[in-house]
Amino acid sequence: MRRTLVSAFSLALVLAALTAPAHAGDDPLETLQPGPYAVGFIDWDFGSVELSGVNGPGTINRDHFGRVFYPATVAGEGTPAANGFPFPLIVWAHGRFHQTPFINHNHEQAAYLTEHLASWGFFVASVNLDVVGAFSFPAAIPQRAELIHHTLSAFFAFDPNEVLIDRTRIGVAGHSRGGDGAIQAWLTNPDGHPIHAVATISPTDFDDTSLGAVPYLGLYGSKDGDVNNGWPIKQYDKASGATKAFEYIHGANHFWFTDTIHFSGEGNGDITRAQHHEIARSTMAHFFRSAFGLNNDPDFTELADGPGLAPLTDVIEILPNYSNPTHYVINNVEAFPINPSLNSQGLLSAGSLLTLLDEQGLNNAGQTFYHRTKAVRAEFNAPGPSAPFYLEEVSPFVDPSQWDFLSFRALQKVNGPLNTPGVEQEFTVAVVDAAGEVATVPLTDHGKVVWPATHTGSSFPQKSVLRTTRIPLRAFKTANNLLQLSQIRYIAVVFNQNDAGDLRLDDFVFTD
Amino acid sequence: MKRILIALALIAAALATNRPFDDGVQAAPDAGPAIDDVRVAFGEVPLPYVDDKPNRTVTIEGRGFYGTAFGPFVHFEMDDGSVHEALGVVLESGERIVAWPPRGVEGAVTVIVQNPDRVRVTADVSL
Repeated sequence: MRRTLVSAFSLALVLAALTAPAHAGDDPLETLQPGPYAVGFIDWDFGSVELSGVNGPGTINRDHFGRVFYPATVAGEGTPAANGFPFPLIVWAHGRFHQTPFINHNHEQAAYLTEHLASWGFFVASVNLDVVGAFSFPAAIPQRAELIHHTLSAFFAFDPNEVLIDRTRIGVAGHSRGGDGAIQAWLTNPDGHPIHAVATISPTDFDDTSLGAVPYLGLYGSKDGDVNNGWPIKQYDKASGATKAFEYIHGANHFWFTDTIHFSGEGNGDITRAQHHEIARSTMAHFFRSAFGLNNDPDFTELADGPGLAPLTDVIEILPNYSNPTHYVINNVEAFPINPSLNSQGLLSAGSLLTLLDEQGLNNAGQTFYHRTKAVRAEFNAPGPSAPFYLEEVSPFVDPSQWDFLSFRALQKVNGPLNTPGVEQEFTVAVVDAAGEVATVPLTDHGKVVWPATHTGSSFPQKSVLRTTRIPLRAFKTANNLLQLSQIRYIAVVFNQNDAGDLRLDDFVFTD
Repeated sequence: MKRILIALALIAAALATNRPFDDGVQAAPDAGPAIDDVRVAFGEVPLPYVDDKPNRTVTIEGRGFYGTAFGPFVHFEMDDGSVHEALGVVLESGERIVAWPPRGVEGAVTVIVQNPDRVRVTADVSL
């Protein structure tokens, strides 16, 4: 019976007309521009604090100092705070560049970002972590988390009438080892600080930690020549329990997310330092505003759906990954034992005219995969009138119309012999309802599967990275008004644009 | 603390990528610092340190050591060709590294110090 359905479905797809509605307008994120506030700053030193030992039991004492940026009436050092308080507090944790003259000044190396966040109404405390930067290995990540907590506690200790922070809305953010420390700060949180958002740039993951129920944003460059082992990709995959977004930025490196640091081991980015800064500023400010209820995008979907990232995406390729916990899983390809014929609902997964259909772990650097997930492996090589396709059956007991989007992730494997270098993989996404009505939407209206960015040199392992595409369910209704969204019974990826391909597909969900 | 100076090695690691500076201001030189004037010494480790680590340290003095998210890395190559990673590395300054060798690293040993940009020096020593 199922095979009959697949055959009938195939015929319907061959006959289905493809439509190509005009692309939506591309307005930039509001936060690409500075916010409404002038920015003041003050250097602070809270004296010595006690941290846990790095190389063994016991404790170490380190100086606790940094620089705070805040919304002000006038820009400058120590200027009066602006009206509009109390302001949410974000602790910024810098990365490690343990070399003169940066030692003891690395907390000043993200002023481009901390000032921008302050201009959007955040009180941003950049804590110095060079005080534990001598530790090459072990990497002193727990001690960075402790310093973040000491920072929160120190500012919480001020008279609320003097230091005007919102003690209910706290975020932590960081770069590289500092990002790792920010994640561990959320995980440990010994004083129960209300940390409600975590953001990282190119974080390390020395202790293989995972975020839980806290909104998360991760940024990572394809030309990161320092944390080039894919840890930031895995960190996104591992996070669960809250809305999360991840921007994989073609051509971005590791240290151009600082003000001025340049690392000879990775060389120049393929995009300018200013573009690194634009991406970090706009996405992080939008993320924190979303997480703290300060805009109309509480689930920061604009960081996922493409147009909101423009104009950056006009010149910079960004692969957004996004997941909203409000969803219905069609197939996340995580079932064990592996059975490529069954999806997460225990229903049919099938292919037609594919040369290979399987499931594959994407935690395999030798295969250019740096994820922490499994995916459908779909290969096709069938130029001709009949398009190969991959199909997922949907339970008749679910009503897809209660969600807004069909979402999935996809990649094409770098150097896969069935992929054409430099050429995007395009396909059509189709749905079929219980009455057999078919609606098709071109992938290119809502997403893409790009040829992976690669860079010359051993510092840049080739990476094949997933990208989330979210197709509004209303787009299918627009394509075929007879379609009953509440009765969608099949979804399919129809490979009718490229003659051949080697793709991975993952996380088919209905979601908001 | 018993301290035995094992060897003195002088290895200059040339770096000349000649990449242009980026578009930022006050950028650091494009090439990483060359490692120079390296000396390696073994000694006993001061307490307290973890119990499962041997009570020896290797002190590496020189110039040009630095760290990013990783590094500098310290490895020990034995006469039999086996290579052992240091159990712990502390970059006390650009002129001094303290590393913890694993158990069994003794006799003729080549100490390998590598900066994050893969510039490395080696020093042949013996216990």
